[in-house]
Amino acid sequence: MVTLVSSDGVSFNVDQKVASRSALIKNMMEDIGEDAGEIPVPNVSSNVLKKVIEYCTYHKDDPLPQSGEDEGTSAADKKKSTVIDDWDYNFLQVDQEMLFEIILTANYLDIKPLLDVGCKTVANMIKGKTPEEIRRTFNIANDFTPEEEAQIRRENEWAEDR
Amino acid sequence: MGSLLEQLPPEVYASVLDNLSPRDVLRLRKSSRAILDMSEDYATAATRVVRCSIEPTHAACCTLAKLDKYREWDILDARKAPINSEDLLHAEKASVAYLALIIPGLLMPFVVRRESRRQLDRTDLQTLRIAYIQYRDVWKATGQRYIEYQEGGLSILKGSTVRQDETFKTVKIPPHPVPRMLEMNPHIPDYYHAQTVALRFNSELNSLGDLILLHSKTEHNTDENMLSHLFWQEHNSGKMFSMLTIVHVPELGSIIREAYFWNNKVFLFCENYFMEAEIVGAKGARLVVDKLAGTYHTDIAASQDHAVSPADTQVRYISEGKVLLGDYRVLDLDRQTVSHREPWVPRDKQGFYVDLPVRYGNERFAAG
Repeated sequence: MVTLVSSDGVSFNVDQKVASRSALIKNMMEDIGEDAGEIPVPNVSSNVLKKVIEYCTYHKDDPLPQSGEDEGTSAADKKKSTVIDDWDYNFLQVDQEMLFEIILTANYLDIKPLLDVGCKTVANMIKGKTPEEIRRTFNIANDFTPEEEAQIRRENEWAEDR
Repeated sequence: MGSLLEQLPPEVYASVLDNLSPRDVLRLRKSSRAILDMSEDYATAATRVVRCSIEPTHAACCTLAKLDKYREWDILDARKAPINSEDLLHAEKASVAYLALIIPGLLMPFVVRRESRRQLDRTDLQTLRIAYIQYRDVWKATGQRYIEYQEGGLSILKGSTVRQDETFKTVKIPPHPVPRMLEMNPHIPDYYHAQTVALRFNSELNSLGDLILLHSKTEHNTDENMLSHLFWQEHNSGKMFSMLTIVHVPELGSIIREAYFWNNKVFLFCENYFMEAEIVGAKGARLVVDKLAGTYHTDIAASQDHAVSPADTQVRYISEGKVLLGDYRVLDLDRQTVSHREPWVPRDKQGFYVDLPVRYGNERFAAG
């Protein structure tokens, strides 16, 4: 077992196999050895860490992605696999703040499958939406001046479907 | 506090974009300035090898040619060109199309080749369009001229040259405004473009006779290099001369932008370096040159302790052996040095250099 300590001081006892889903923690455990003890995760709050551990526990028996596996994979190949597994889909039915926290944590802890599925979820929230709908979805302030908006429209209008 | 999406680290944002279609990326870009900036960073990310290779070049701004207005789509071997994007949908395999990016002083096409047997669909068109947008963004951000982009059944090759009738051509257009003729007839003879460029240098014609650069034509020589042929015209008689053939590597940005005579030398300003040669005589209609030497502008810039700029190789004005470069530094052809930037240099809000009318007098350039 290994103990992960969140930024707000909450400890989670986790099976090493589960913790190894994170490449960062796996490397730390290898460096420290069997007596890993407590591993602080200073950038992650307890409620987010709990969710991430839930993901890692469910996927603990999945094959680990090989280092550099993604290199050479074209964007086209990636786009082919935008389907999200049912369990992952339900797992990520959280509020937007939590979703982004999970994504950032997956990035920080280097949990690539979780990062991928999180980014796919965000991408699915963008797909098919107009710029205004995207702004509403993600609470984005439109900071373009009317002139800039007109300029962007002019530059891109030919690329829209006619 | 801004949107969480706007606060994503670049690598994470890139992962999101990797899962979006070109059309969705285009729409997303329009949502805010931060998103637009992040999307442009994504387009220029050096690690995304499928999208680009780096080649610095010049230019203050560019205008995206509108699809219908400038009829920038063309299918080679289809004499009824120009055609529109709907025609491209039904193009045959291995047909080649070009898009024109119109920037001040240069009509910059890039070549698109269909590689799959299936008919192109709207996704392909979007792919093409996003490649074009990315190309423009890359170019605006870094000055990079070439882009290699391959996806689906399309391979978008590179900028600056157009394969047409088994040759490659580089054409030039007057800086401002985009000529109305272009709308009416996209197949303007090279003479039209070249004469306009060459007229800038009429006052500089010297003992070579009244020769002006007519056009340069570039073609593939081997897989690795290309040939550029320079053609010149006698100003009074209109007699044609072929002048010089240069073997060069296109990835080094050798497409010739300007040519200039000075002290019995010819100077050729290419995309990211310039080349000079001594003219030793004429043989028939061909000028004989010797002592060809090439110098990278970036080398000059580095040696002069200047930051390397994409504007290094744009020529704004040439007079008496002094070349006003795109970023308003002055290249002295005799001394092969580059001055510090002129103090009156104007920039726009984005920091790009503004095009100004320039005059030369008392051994210096000035605005006006």
